[in-house]
Amino acid sequence: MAIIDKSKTAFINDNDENIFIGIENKFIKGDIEGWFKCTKTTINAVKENIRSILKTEKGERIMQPNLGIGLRALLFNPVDEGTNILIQEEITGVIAKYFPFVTITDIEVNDGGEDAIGKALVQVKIGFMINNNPNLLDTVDVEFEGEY
Amino acid sequence: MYNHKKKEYKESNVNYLNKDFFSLRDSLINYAKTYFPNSYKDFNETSPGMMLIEMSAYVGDVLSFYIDQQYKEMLLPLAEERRNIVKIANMLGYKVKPIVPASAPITFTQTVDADTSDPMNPKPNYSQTVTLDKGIKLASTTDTTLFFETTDVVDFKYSSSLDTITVAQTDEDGLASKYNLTRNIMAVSGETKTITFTVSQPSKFLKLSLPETNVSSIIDCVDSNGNKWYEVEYLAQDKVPVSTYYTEDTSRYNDDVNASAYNGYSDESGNLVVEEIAIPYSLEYIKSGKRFVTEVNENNITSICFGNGILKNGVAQTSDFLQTEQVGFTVPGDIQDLANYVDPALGDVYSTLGETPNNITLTVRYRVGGGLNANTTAGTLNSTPNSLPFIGSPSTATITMTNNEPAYGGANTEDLSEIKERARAFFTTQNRCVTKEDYEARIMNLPSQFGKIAKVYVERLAAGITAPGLLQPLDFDNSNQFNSEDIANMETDILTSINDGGITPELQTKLGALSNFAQTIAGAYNTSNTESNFIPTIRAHILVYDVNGNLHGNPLIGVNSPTSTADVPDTLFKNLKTYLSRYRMITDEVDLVDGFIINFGVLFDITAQRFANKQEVKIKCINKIIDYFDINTQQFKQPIFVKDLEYELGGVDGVRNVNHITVTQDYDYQLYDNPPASFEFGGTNGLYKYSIEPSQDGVILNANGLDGYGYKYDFKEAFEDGVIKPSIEPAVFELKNPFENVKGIVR
Repeated sequence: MAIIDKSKTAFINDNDENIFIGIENKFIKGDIEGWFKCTKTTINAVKENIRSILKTEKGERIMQPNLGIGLRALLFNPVDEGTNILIQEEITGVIAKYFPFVTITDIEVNDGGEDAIGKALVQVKIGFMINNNPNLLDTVDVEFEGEY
Repeated sequence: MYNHKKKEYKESNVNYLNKDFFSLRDSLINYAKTYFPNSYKDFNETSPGMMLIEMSAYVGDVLSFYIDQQYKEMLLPLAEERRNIVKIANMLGYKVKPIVPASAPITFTQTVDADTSDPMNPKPNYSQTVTLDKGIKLASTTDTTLFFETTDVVDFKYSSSLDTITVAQTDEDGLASKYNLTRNIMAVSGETKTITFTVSQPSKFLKLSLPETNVSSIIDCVDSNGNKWYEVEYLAQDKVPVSTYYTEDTSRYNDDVNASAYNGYSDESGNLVVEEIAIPYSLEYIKSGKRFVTEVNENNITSICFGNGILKNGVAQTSDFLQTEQVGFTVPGDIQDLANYVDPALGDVYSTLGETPNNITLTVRYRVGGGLNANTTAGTLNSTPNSLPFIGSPSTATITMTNNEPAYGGANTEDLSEIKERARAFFTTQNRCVTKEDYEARIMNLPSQFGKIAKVYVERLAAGITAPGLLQPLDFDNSNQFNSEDIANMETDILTSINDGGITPELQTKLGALSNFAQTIAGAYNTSNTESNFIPTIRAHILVYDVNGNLHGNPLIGVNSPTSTADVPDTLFKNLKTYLSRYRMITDEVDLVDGFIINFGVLFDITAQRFANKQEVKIKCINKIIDYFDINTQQFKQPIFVKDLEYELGGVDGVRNVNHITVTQDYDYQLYDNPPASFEFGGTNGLYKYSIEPSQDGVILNANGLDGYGYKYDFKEAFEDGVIKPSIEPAVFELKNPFENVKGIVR
């Protein structure tokens, strides 16, 4: 289960440049932090984590068969409102389960427009905030793609 | 002493006992929190960092699994893979069977004419009897794919207590004119197959695999030079048991006795003495380098594996001691000339694992078949083969065969649990005789072809009194011990004789006893004396059954007259001694002697119920007593519980009260204080032939009693609190001729 930040002064570590929170989703070498480039603020770490779980299919992770989301299964559904609602429900459910400290403010689902010609493409944009700091808003953009 | 301050050391939070995925993951999280608090803080399951931690934990989990798995697979109780269980069982000495054949006793019947040379006492004409070799193939009448093969010779020329003779036909006078002789021989399911292997260049530990998967046994292996290769339990076993049937045993021709299952001797007068008990096989161990073991792998493929010894071309094995691999070669550091310089270690190092075949063709005969389907029903193995393998000249004798009992014991491949349990049992027994119980079990396990043991009692002789017969003459002060008093006793006699100027008769006797003792010891240390019984540590008292199913054996007659037929046959003792030599401890000297037989009769007095048929009640009581004293249930040193017998009789239909029961050899000592003029049993003698009576020289064996019975025993003295106590010397109580020796009154 998710680990909830129960510190009395939330995100105090975000103020320190030398304290790292998590690892960025793309494994690239960091400047000072070592072999992996790290996130330095909590909001960035949450953003990376949301991106990570939205890119993870259920069953992919070793020993965690329920971790992930089933969006790829919806890629070949008709582009209509019903599919959009299914995608939104999937995302809402997963984030509620693994990020109980996060509130979703908005979910936009696009069919990709011209970019989606010749392929199955879904673009998702999620707006969210961390409950401890409602003033801190951010968005995550994720694309799901499948070849015909 | 330096005292460590507790705070100087920081305990590591690395837990080496976490071996599964979740424990390892939690441990790594704790580790990261402790040692890298500023480098990583995001322990949400969805984070990429956690993914890396979980991958590490997964690797740890997999490694731990394999370590656990490998350790588990090394232990017989925990192993699960058949391959590993088979290997561990092999390591413990147990060989897994690819298939278990069914076995069935086959009853062979030959009809012969009656021998009427004594018209009033006709008997079977044994000159018409035949002998059939082993391996008779019997086809099932219900399953055309099922065959059985006999595992032993069918010999109608001798009989044992297990064989029956019935009258097949009578003449007009009512006398027997033909007899049916029956022999019960074991047959096992399976079919003999043959395969040849051509071996060119020799190779160490050559392994030849048989094509079939359900091989139940290797029958034999012969090379193109006519040499026989022997199957052994392990390659280092250089002694191979070889059983020889009496028709091929030249040692049976000794003393002008023709080949016979009955061994014979010439007594002191030159007269032929033939033993009464037939022992068809002789057992001996030979030393052979030509040996192999069988291996069965997890796929039930049977292979035969040879040793590492390679003989140089053209070199023949001429000695027991063989330096196989080095003959003709110069090995650096070793001496080539074995005739002059023999390194005793070389034999152990190079030749005790046996030879490997070299430029020869091996012909292997093996038996295939078995399993649950082979447990055929009774009466289905009765089709006579087209030709029978007669030993000696072929005969036209009519021989029939059938299985009166169903075949049993056939089983498919052993499952894992069976292999585990049998391997454990095999390892526990170790095939070694250590305790007296081991010896008793091993002696009773003597294959019946080498002589059937009826009863055995083993005693481990204590140090110091290990040979009472040897030391007893030196016990001059009759203290039942040979000690310093006896030596002082003789010294006094010697001094007296010196002072008197002449040897007294007492001293003469003592010096004679000392001389005998010295000669016995000298004989024991003479290596050519293979029959030495010097200082045995194990003494086994043995009895066998005669042809009528009665006990047979006489310890004292055997001592005085080695060629007597009243004792256990010498051939059996010889076979048993050879058989035990492989199992006994090197420090044990086994002495085989006959056991005592004490015969008795039973007198009973009962009151029947008012309306019961007294005659019928009496017969029932007699039958109950006969059943109670069934010889198969009697053992050495087993007391007779008369009260128990009373209880048994009390349960017989029609019995109201058991007044008394007396177990005795002669008269009813519960009724008479003094012996009457004529006894209830044995006339004026009692049911014994031999009695050990006191005499001037100690004791004397009196053999003037009733023929066919055993030793005298004072039942009156031995009767106490409803129990007949057993004798000090190992003896078996036997109710012989029960229809004569059970008598009773029904009131």
